[in-house]
Amino acid sequence: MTTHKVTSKQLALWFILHQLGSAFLLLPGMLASMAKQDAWISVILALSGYMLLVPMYAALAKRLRGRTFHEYLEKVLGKWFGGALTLAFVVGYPFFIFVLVLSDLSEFVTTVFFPETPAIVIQAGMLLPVLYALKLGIASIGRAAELLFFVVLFLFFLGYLSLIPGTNPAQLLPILEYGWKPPLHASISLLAFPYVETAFLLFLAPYANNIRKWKSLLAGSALVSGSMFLFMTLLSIGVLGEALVANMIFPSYTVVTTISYGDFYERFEVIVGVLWYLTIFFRLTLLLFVTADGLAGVFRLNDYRSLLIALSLIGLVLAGSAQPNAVFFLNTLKPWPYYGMTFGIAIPLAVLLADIVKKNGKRS
Amino acid sequence: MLLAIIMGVALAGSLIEYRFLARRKQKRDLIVDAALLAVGLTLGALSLSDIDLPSPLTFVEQLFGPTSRMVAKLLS
Repeated sequence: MTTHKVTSKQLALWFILHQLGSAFLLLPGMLASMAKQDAWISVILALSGYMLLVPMYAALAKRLRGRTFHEYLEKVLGKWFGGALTLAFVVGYPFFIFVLVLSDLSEFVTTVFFPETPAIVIQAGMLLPVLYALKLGIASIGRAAELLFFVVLFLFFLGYLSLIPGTNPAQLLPILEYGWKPPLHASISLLAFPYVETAFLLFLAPYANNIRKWKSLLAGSALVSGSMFLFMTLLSIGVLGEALVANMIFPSYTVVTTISYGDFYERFEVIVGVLWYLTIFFRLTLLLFVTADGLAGVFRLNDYRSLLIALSLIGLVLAGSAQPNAVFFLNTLKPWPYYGMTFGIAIPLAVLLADIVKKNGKRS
Repeated sequence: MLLAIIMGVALAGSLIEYRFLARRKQKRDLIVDAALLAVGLTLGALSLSDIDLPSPLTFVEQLFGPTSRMVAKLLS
């Protein structure tokens, strides 16, 4: 009934939606608090940095040759070490982010839309479609991404193009007022969240029907999501000014509430809510799939699907304690990029080098 | 309270699934899944009895806080 293959196009759209989720609301404020009015420069810097990393991920994906990432790690690093590394990677990176995304979801929805609804109801309500989609298999999610991507794109442009008349380009000046260091610092955050999360997309590589296009797939999806981030950051700062954007938790939401022409063309903020739900859905499905699939590989199970309920229960309970308050969250967001880069850049690079050294050793 | 209901639903769903797994004699799947479910139920019970679970983010802060502060100093 279900096939386990997704086309490259579906994967690319899934990646874009995944990268937009959470970052879509948190990013402009995060960047503006570090880089002020130069936040948009850091988007360009982070994208260029990511383009340098794409060949590494593509080389790894090529070396998988249809095997899962876990099988590849076992081949390169030995059975025990490879298994242990996969376990640490899966629990420490995608599953951890899964927990954080769940709490982000309810954080925004309870702050803005449903202040009296308990967070756990929103989280559990979201997990139901996620579990259902994963039970159906990733081919269904790929098709859903293909359908919903254009809805996301339409709503995004409907909301943000309406902001253009209200922008004041002078808010973006002076460029590089504090030198090149603050935008560079902010670009580290953007690179780690969401771009180096590409590392766990390697778990999806064996399910893609055309692995040779992996490089253009990664670069293309990053360019699309990156230009959306650029557009959004420019408009948020252009309309609200850097000081306001830097001090808000959800500036890309607040900025849409300012749309109002003739008391008629207004109340667009619900668009942000819809975008938030759609993108978070694809983010959660990807994260939970990678976790369950990785664990199923390590423990040599027949099917990842039996793990879904238990994993989402653990995620739900941990999400309740992940962000006790906003101050704690904003403070722990600062070291996060370095944690993310350890898993997203250092580990894949080390594995790739180990594989190359091993191959060369055999030849000579 | 809501968490207790969700835990009940998760337990019921898992038990239905275990019947299928047992019928197909997939012992390994059953054991791993039951272990994970036990972890989930224990964590849920702890949080229901008002024991504060530490946030996993504390660990990130302890491990990478110094690096982050060093880079922030360097790039400001």
